[in-house]
Amino acid sequence: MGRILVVDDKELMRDSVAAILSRKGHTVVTAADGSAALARIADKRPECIVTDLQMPGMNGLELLEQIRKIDAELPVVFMTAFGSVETAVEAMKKGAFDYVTKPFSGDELAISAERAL
Amino acid sequence: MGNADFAEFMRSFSEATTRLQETHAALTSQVERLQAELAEANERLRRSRSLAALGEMAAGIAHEIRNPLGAIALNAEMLQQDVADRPDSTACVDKIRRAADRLDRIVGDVLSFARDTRVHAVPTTAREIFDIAVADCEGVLAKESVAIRCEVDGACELGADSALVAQAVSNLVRNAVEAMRGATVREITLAAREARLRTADGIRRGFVVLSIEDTGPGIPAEARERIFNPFFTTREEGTGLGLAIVHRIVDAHGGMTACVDSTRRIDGKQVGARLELSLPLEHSRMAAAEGVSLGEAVRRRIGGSSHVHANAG
Repeated sequence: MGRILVVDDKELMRDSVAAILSRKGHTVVTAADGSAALARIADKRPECIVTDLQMPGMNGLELLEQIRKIDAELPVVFMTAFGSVETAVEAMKKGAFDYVTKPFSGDELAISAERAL
Repeated sequence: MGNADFAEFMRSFSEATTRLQETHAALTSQVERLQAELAEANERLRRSRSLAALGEMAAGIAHEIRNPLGAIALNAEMLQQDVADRPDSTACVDKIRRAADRLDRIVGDVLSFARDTRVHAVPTTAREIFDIAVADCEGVLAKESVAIRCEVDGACELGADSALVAQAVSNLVRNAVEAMRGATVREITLAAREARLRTADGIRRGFVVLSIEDTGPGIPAEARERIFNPFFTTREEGTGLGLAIVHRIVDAHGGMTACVDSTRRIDGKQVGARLELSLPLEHSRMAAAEGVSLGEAVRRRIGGSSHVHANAG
């Protein structure tokens, strides 16, 4: 069981993902955007980050770049929408650990995150 | 001028007049035919444009729907674990999950319709396209006891994205299978032939025409115009996007779709639906002009020169 940071600008999705991962026994913290996520990471380093790819302001890829500046190893799992497979591939090249395509089941997400822990 | 000379002059004049009248009649009928073909080509262009605009709007809505839908599905999943010991509640949650799944499939259809169709054209044949499509539908064909046969006339070699075109054919085969439920004769004929057709720019080009014909109830005349429009469906289930996706794929190849009269007869009665996908032999919207434009055709018929061209401008 690990400490997971969930980043998503959409509250409904963020809370649902957090709830699913909490139920699997993980300690979950959340952030509504990239800057808040970086503050959370600086505050207490999580063991894995689950983040949306498309967010206003700093998007998922930019967040990944910022994270890599402070931690070369911290695993990041992306949640991507249909049709953004190319972006997901780019994310993998930039050092993402994995990605799940929406819609995903709780188990699907948990398996990805747990492999990262 | 003597009488004989005058008679000769009149005969020549009369012959020239007759030739002119014939030429005029021939030209008029050719212009009418060309105008009709051009109107049809313009209509195809208009349909392609309106489909593209609709697709863009639909994709925007679909993306907005998918996030809350994802949240519904995740929460239903958690709820199902919570009420696992209560059969009534489990049944309710199961309905929520099934409804969310169904909605998600609809959204998926909309997005797959709207997404930019990128064509990776390679040399292929109608036979290869049919083989991929039939292999893809094997399960449903066997399950519904539908017989399928392929008739390829000539080489039918073309430059196309065989996977995409096979997806279009496969969509049509699946539609045909559904349409034939309850029919006594259940047969699908896939046929291919080469033809020269006029495109939206008024130029004649070589095409491979793939046709899919079934022995179902057919498509009513009033529905034929709208059949390739997104969300148009005559079925209870289904998004009405299957044929719109077919149109999108064919359009991306610079091709044309049509719903025409079926050639099948059972007990002397016409049955079934026939859909045709015409794909250019060379995949290129900017293919070398093999034919001539409307204006050029008229000029050639008149026997015009650059002088006529200049005046015609």
